[in-house]
Amino acid sequence: MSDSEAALLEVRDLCVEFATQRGTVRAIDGLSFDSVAGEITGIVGESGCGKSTTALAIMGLLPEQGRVTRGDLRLQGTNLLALSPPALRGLRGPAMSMVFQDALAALDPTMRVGRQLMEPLTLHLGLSRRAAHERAIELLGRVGIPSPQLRVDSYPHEFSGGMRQRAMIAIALACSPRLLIADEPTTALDVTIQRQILELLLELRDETGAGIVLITHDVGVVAETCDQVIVMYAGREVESGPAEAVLTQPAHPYTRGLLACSLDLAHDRDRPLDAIPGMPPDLLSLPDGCPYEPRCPDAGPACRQMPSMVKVSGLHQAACWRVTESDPAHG
Amino acid sequence: MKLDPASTHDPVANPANLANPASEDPPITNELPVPTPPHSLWGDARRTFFRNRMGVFGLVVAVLVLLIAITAPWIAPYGYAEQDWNAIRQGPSAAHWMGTDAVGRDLFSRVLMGIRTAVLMGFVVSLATVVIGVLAGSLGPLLGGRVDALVVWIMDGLLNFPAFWLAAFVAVITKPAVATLAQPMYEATGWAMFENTLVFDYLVVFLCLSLVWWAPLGRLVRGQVLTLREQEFILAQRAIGASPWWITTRHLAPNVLGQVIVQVSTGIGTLMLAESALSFLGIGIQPPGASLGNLIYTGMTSWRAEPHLVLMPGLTLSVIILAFVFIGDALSDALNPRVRDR
Repeated sequence: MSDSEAALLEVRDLCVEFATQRGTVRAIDGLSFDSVAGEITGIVGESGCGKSTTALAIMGLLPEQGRVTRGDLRLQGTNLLALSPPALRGLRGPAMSMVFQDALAALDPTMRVGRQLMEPLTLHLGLSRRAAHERAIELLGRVGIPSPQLRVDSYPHEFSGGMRQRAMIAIALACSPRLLIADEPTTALDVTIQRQILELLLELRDETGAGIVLITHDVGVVAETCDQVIVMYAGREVESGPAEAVLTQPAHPYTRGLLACSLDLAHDRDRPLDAIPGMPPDLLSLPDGCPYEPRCPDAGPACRQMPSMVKVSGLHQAACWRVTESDPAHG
Repeated sequence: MKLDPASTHDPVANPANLANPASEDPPITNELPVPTPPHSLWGDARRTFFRNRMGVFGLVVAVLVLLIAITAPWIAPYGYAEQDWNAIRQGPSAAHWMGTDAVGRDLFSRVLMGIRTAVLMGFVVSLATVVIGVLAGSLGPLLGGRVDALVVWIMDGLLNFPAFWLAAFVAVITKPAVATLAQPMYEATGWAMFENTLVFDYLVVFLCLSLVWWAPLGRLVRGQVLTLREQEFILAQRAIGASPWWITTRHLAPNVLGQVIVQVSTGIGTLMLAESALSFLGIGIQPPGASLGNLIYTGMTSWRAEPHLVLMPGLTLSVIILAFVFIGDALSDALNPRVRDR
């Protein structure tokens, strides 16, 4: 990750732990990345690998049992971890904001969509009711909801899935945040709507210049939208770099596995669907070495030791012993 | 505006369009049909409520009862304590619609005043239980820790006793205390209010019912708040920088409100019954004060000879309680988001 561009969000060596009844779980272990304004940073991985926890940690919305135990989170240079709760509340909305996976659950069922859109506007920008209402209509139109002046008074249950997700994005964008975190924004939608929402995100990135962190388990989504990508496994980053490099020349066996699992309907119609054998490890009893070692087809004796991120090429990095072994030129 | 299948450009609905794409139909535009006016939560609830005949019956009776309660002193043909020694133990007649009692008081006037007492208690105590219950139920989870534990402990304690007997117990205990307090108060202020034992009766009933009756409501609110708090829209609210107070007043409260309304409207009838029962047992409103309960009680002594003395207040009480039960039922259908067939 370059230092030449001023990073909007800097995540350094982030560790998050959860206190559970069976012991302390390290949900994120040593995650570092930068998000640059006007770029989409993808975080990919299986369920439970720490993607959503990363989002909540950045927003300061970890559940009570969760705690950032190490590391640094800086948004435009401000140390987010040192802020008081009210100061952090002041940043949520105007500086950073979040789109959730299930828009129906994330919208208040008893409140009209327009009023929910007006809330951040009155809360942070101090707009009058009338001005906020005007702006709400404008925002709904901006995210592509037809006849926004009529729709502004609808309730969430009257919206279709895609419209709800658009409304959710409009709420997140209401105060023009510099950083937008989208946690699986397309997972609950069908494929055509998925594409529309992704296109909307791309448009908004170009238009607002905001930095977007896109969390997904779908490699296809990353390929279509992301500028850079971080692959996570069992709470650790295993590969990161420019999306193109990571997706075309994956260096980590896990990334290769993920790519093999995705389908290409043009060519793969008769091929049985690939799957990575085994299960992600229990975060309570991680192996000492590489967490992927038990499932890895290329594992060797070296993998009993924890690998660290090494350069593959340019900004492309991976945490795998094989990278240095197989390609000493890049060592 | 309804979509006419014949005019759509959907080839599935209208194969003619597929066969002849360059037909003379107007060009496809992005214009969508105008959405129907939005259904509001309360609008939907109102429609469902008024479709329920029992609910409407209950509402009509309740409004009537409320009007009677407010205007009772003026519409009653006689004073509620006024005695006519020439008309003792009379059956219903043109002069006395529900007859008279053993000391010549007009029963109709007393029933009207009894309704006034029941409504006063029903509404005032309901209001008190809503205030206590909602505060306890929402502040507990909000503040957490010891406050929550204490609230739960008190609620469980109250819920472990039959509410009515606990209220009776509180009434019996507090009555002498209120009475002893009243004498010095009267001497200090000189206000006639502190000499009127009827005022104590009201105060004691009000106090004992309010202290006991809030527990189920508190538990309901607490459970709702605990569930709602884990919902994603609360997290989403925090993600746009909303404070706990903002979330509680704007998002938790409206989501709990429906359930509270249902519980309270059903509870009003029960509260009126409790007041009557306390008065029936002689620890509530005492004669000459009029309560449906003490009317039934005094009537019981001569029910063979004058059944109307029991029947009239008894029927009145039953109808009122039924009305509130119907309202509660209809509201619970109307405000329950899971029962939606509309």
